[in-house]
Amino acid sequence: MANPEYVLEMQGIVKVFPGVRALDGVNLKVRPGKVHVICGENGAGKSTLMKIINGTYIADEGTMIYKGQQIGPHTVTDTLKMGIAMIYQELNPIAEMTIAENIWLGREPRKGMFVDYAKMYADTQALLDKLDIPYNARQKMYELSIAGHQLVEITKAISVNASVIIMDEPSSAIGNEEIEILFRQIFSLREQGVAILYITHKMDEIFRIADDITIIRDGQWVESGPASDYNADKLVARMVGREITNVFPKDTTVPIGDVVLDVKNLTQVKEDGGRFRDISFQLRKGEILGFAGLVGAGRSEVMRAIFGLDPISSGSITLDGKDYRVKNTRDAIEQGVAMVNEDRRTYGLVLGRSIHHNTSLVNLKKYTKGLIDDKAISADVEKMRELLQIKIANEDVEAGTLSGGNQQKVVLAKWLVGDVKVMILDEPTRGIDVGAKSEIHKLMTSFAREGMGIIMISSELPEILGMSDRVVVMQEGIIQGILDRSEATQESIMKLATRGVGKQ
Amino acid sequence: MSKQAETRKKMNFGQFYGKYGIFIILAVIFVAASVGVRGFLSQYNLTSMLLSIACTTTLALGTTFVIILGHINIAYGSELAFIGCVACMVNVATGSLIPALLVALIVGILFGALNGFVITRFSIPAFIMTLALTEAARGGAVLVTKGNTISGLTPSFTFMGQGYIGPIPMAIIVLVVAFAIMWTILNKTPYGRYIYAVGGNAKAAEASGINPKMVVFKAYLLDGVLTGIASILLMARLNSGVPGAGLSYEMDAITAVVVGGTSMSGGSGTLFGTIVGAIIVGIINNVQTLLGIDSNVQKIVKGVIIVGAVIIDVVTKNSAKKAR
Repeated sequence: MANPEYVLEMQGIVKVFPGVRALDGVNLKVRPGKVHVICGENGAGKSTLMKIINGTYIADEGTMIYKGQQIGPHTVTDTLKMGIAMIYQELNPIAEMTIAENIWLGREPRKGMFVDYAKMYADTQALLDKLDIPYNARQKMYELSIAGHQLVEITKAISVNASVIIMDEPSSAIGNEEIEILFRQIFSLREQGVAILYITHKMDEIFRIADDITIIRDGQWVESGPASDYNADKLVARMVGREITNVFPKDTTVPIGDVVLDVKNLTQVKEDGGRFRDISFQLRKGEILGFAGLVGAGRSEVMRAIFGLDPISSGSITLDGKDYRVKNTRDAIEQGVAMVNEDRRTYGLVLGRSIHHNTSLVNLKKYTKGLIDDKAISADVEKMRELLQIKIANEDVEAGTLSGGNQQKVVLAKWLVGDVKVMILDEPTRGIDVGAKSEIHKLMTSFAREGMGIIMISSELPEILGMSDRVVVMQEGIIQGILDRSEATQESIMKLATRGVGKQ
Repeated sequence: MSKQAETRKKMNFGQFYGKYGIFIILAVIFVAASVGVRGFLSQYNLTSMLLSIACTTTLALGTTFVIILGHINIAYGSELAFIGCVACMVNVATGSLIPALLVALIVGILFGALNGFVITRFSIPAFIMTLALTEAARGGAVLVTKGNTISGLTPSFTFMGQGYIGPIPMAIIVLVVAFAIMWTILNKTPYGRYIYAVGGNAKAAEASGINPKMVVFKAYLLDGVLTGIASILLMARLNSGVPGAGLSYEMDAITAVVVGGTSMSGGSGTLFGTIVGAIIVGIINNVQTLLGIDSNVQKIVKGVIIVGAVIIDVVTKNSAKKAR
């Protein structure tokens, strides 16, 4: 008999990887028609637990009861058939295929031995329309934004009539606008009785959508309860096992110095990509300049151009009063500009190489007198490890084995061993747990105190408001306004960020 | 994973094998051959075994760079023939070694520049470019020699492939010097580190101020230099310029690199691994010859070794990954 109270029950789940007890006795009870948020720091085992539910991993111990029946071990295909769908943290759509082809991949409707494309496109379009998703089933995936990919994944989950949908940090790569669309879908799924398992690091989201909360820490189950029993402080304290008092350690006493970077009328025309126009702003020494806006507003594109990754069509930049010209990243680096990219796994680190190699990569010439002086590098790595509190066993550890927070610190170390006048940080704390987030923010403050100019792009408004001295708000490739710390509020930023949306 | 995992320094089997496995395999094979095969351990046999791999191992040094970058070169056989024949003709015409050597190096660099330019400028897969060069260079070799074998090489030329300094063959000395230089470049210069960075993650390399295309181009230049040197070793050993020489040498070079643990997907590999890989293949061939095994059977065995080495590479890498 099916137990009506829970759609999914997990009891005493243990998962051991060589050398690590990733999960150690985790319990989870999921009610139908509820949003259940799993909380925990990075590395707590949240994703591992989700992958056990959907069959990517097999648990070493523990039981799993789905709709009143004990199940497992099972595969991803099994769980999908049973009605458990998972939307991964990193989406892997097949870009050259259409939306419909991606949704029905591996289970295409057939007519004899051939794919029944007519039925496939008709069904998909009906589904998209029903969900109010403004896409055509025949659109290729590469035409869609990351948020679009997520909507397609959700559509796919609904197309299998899932009873449980797992979402692993679906909001980490999308902006506020897209998050609203996502939430609307989640709420409507909830009304239809679908259980949503949701992983996120964003506090405001948790309290907006969670019905139930389960907290895990270091692979161990801490507690579960209705979301109404928690507030942000209590939740964070339970997650990290300690109190974090100051989430944004902004120090407004840091002296603001002379203009270090002066950008005038920076424009990228269509032939070069055409992602922004007439960008003018100034950055001062010791200042943290926040860049806010919706995803796709052109913030990253401006920074990529300043850093020499993409071309600049017209406009001028001066750095420390001198003409600043870039053809490639080497030019930017030699003039003292550093950029920490939003996607550190792709642009930040060579994951298969050691901390030693990653830390020295940018400034290898500095360590070279004829041949590379590895001892000098090791000395600097050790310095950085202390300064940035990087938790590593030794410098020969591969970068790919570190947690998100530690990876980000290695990226910072890579720049800090050289001379940096302007540090561009693109989503510096995305996907990083609360504890490490606060450490990164503290570091930013200390860099500013040493006279660095810091540009911080962030899609998290609390971070922008908490850390910035001034906030530049962009929308559709232009600057809509620059706000002082005193003027910047959620409302004033969002108003600028969405001004003129919809019209051309 | 958890914080404890990051500070723990335990190695699982995959990581252990990745580091030392190849040396253990070499030791086991060497001991087995010494005990089980009569004549293997004689100085004469060991020297001739090393001589037989000198040319392809010299190539394999460059191949290692190219493969760590995630690229490939399958044109060595034809490049060797063309460069070698031209060098032999220069040697015969001038009666001295130095001009022949210079010409071999220059033509080798030109081949490398051609490969590197086309591959980086037009983003053409290295496989396709070097496949095309395989055809073209072989045709060129036959054309410049009019299909004839070039004979009458000077003793100084043939010394490169057949001579000895004390008990050590000249070709081995050339190989050791080339290895020392290439090892230093790969491990002790910024350029060497860039090779690993670009092979591991070209985008991150570019965001760190490295020009990935230039790194690839330079690797093909070095590869060309080594091909030039190897062509001298080959023709000197053959005692003449043979336009049909070098057939399937690219396979031996790539086999040495792959058996030596360099990943075909780029980003990892060592020159020590390549040398050990070459010696392992050399010993296996040598032992089979000593045992009188048919040369066609030897080819089958080589095929099995290549696939086996890659399977081991993939399996151990997966088990190393799971430890995270």
